[in-house]
Amino acid sequence: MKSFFRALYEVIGLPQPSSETPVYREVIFPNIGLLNIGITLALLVLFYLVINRYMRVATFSRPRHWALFLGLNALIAFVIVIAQANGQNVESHSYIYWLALLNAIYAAVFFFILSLIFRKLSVNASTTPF
Amino acid sequence: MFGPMRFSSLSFYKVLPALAVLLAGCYSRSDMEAEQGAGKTTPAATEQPEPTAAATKPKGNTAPGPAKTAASATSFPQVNVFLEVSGSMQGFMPAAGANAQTTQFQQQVSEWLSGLERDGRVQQRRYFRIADRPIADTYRALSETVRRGIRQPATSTSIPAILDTVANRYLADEAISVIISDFIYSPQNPGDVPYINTDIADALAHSRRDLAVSVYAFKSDFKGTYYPAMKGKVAGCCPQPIPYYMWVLGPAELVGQFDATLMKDQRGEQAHFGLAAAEVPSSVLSRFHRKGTWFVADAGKQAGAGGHAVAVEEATAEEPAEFVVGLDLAQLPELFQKPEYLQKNLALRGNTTTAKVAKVEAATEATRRSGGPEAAYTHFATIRVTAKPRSKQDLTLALPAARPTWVQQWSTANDSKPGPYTFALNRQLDGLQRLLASRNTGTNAADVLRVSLSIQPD
Amino acid sequence: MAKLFLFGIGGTGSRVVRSLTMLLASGIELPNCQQVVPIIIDPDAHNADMNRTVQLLQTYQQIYKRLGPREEGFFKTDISTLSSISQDVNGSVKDTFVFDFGGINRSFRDYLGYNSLPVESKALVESLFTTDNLESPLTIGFRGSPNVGSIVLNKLAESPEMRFFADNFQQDDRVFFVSSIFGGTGAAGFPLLLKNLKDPNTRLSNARYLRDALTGAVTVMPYFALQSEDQQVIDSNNFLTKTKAALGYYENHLQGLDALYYLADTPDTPYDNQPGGVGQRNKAHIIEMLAALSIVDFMHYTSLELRSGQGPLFHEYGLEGDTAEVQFQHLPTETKDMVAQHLTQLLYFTKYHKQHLPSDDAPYAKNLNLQYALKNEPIFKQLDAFLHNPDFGVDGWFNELSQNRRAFRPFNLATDDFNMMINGKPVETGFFNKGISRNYLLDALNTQEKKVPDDDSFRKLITLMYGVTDEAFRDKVKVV
Repeated sequence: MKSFFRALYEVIGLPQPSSETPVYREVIFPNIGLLNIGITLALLVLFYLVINRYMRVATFSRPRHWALFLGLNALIAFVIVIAQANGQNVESHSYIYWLALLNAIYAAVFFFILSLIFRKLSVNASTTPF
Repeated sequence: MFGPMRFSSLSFYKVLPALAVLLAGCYSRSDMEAEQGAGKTTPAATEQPEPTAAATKPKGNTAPGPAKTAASATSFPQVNVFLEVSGSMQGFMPAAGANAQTTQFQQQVSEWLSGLERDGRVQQRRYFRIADRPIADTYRALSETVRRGIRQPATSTSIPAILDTVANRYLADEAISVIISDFIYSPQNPGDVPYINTDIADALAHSRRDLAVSVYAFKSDFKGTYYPAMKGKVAGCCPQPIPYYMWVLGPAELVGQFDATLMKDQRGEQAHFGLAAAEVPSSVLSRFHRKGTWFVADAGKQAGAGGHAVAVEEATAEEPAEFVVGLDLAQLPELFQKPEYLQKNLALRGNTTTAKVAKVEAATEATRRSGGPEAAYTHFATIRVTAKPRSKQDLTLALPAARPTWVQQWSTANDSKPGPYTFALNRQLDGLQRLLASRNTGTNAADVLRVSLSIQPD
Repeated sequence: MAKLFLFGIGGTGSRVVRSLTMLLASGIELPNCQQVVPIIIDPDAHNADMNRTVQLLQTYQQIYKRLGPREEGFFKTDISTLSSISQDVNGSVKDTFVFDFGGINRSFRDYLGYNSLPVESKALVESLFTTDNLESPLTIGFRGSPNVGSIVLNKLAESPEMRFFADNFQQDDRVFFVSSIFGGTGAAGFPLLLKNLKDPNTRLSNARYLRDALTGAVTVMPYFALQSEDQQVIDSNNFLTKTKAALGYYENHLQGLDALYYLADTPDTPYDNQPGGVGQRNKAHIIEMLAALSIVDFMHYTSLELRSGQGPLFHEYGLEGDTAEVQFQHLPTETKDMVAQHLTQLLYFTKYHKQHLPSDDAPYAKNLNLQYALKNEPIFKQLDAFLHNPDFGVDGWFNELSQNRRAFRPFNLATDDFNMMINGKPVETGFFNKGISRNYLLDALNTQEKKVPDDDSFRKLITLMYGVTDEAFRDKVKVV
């Protein structure tokens, strides 16, 4: 698991400054990865199942609503990286923001890909995003 | 005194007034420790050393070392003091006139003896004058001898003989023996001078296996007749101070504790043989004075945490990686705390040529107050890596047990002109060193301290 | 496969058939038959009421062809032209809902061959018909003159259409006549047709089936007046006199009828006096809808029920109260049960179809490829025409009903709020219950879309719309 997240997040290079590498690998990568997946799933469930199925809301299913959730997911993913970095007391470095950006992109990508699965479980958003 | 304490930024302000009180008051370090020591030894006097939680000093991620045991349950079942009272010692203890000045020897030894007599950690004390054999004495009598001078000098006994006797007869049952002497040893045959070291080694050859010897060297005024090692005597000596020595012999563990307590703050020089190699608290500091791209591979989950394995991502001769190993050498003899000494002698051993000790520095006020992990360390060894390792390499940062430099200065091959040196001291200590180093590589006879490190690729 | 042959005679016949078509489109059940074959008999080929009825029927037919038979739903009942029920060997019967009079553009005088008649006959003719009767062209019908109609229509029995009808008449098929008693074509045509079908000496085939067939009729008595103008050929002041005369005739000469429905209303606002042609285009009236319901009522009876008594069953109709604005609560319970839900569903359908369907971007719409279909597929255009055509569509029909006197106004047609559409019965809403909101309908559409397996997107849309409006009515309106 750790090595999976390590591979996932080290595509933009090794953590900076390098002194913080162990904390990133041991703590931050798994944390933000799991949080990212968890929050993405939660938002997908909220959008596709809660709102667009169980709550029977039919007017919040357009691509722009979906995009709102995708953006929200990316934003949360960005923020959790900052929060994690602060929480773990790693030395501040612009890398944190690059990592946050990467995480936001992953969040958007996860959201998009998983949308294609979740939409099949939905009623009112079964054709969202397309 | 504030070295080991870590101030978090919050509590720092609360502590500050208390600090001011402490500084303004007349406490000194020794005062404090004496009080603490007295407090601790009272229950320990019941001969049941119990490591209590309160007595255990937490000190970051330090490895348990002798310092810890010394602090927690120091107790000396028996201490034997041997004072040589031959004619050659008379100059240190001149028969006092009404207004005669005392020598430094008299001052230092009587103070030390007094301290020993009063010390609650010592359960049993025995005092001996060394004549041709050890003669039991009382504290009062021995102290009187030191102060008033030697009235009836005994015949001189050879150093190997003294050592042999003490090592074989007075070191049973966890006893510590302290020999106070000028340690002027002249073989019967002048041609045997090169074998002095062997003589010393032989004298101690049958001693207990965990024997350790700490040598404390002092200088003192000398008023009387000086007996050089090789024939003759110099009367009305001496214009220059003359060395004398206190040798502490005993089981390694107890000697270490004895060094840290009853031999503390002795001016003069020291050399230690056979003590357990110190496991000093140490850590690679992940953020302190770092250069290049590397990280502490075994740091774990705490940001900024240290460790002993360094993963080097990039390093070249032009752009080397540098990491700092923090060392807490507070428990080591003072000699080994000198940055210059460490700089010269601290070495990195291992199957690599690309990692070297670049420099060694002592802690500064800034590092002590930094609030970071570096605050826990007294010394910082910077290791420079000039190539990325291909595989994991085990390294040992070690301080080899080299003969201290003062030994050479304090040694002479001819003491017919008395001065601040001792005949063949170097040979005596070499003998001691060789014997104890060969017995057990884990002792400081081989290395004073060892820190295991490793470097590896990422 | 039992059929209902529905003869709509005259302008009233056309209008009642129009109402029936609307009722069938709304999904009202027509039991005991699988197919309705309307035959509109009106010599006035330009009659606007007839023409828009025909257009409506054709559109319905197209839509039904695409949909096919189903358990329930909009356009449930098959409506077919006479020629389409069987292969016509001669090709003499046109594929139309209208009886072909073959273009009688002569005057009645010429039609009778007046000039070649012997003098006695001429005298008889002159005593039976006014000069006006004789001079008027037949192209605009009989203009309220049953004495003219009876002569012309008597010849119908020999037409190819009637022969084709008789050839294809089967056991269990039923016949129903719709006519007005006060007009020209209807008043004369109904008894004549009935007589010809039931004539024991008829030369038509399947005579026994025809004679034994369950036969019903609705006769609409005067329910509107015409503006009295001196130069007009039809004078509504004569309606009552004519009615009396006709009823007197019916009393003794209607043989072989199993049920006869009488409908009447007190005339209120006079219609524009248009004797026929494109000018005769009257607003739909509740009485026509009730007449159409009499057909539904007739079809509900089994043959046993119809034949149990002596002679025909006579029916009359009464509202719960005499009100100028008829709403659902003014209808008798039986009628209300029959029409309220279906008409409401049809209204919801047409409203939703107009307001929301073209802009729906929901899963159901995407899965149906609705945006493309609405713009490009002919059948969707047919549906659009059926619902919204200003001339013959559902919207217009609802509108006309609500504007006529007496008005049938169960709906507030001006609102776009589905909750407010039924007059006097707004849907209950609350903080958590928005009633029949856009959201509610969308969700229902999306939900049902998943449950309806149908490859034909048009049929699926109709099924969805029926299902959703049905659900909306049951869940939200509940009762009216």
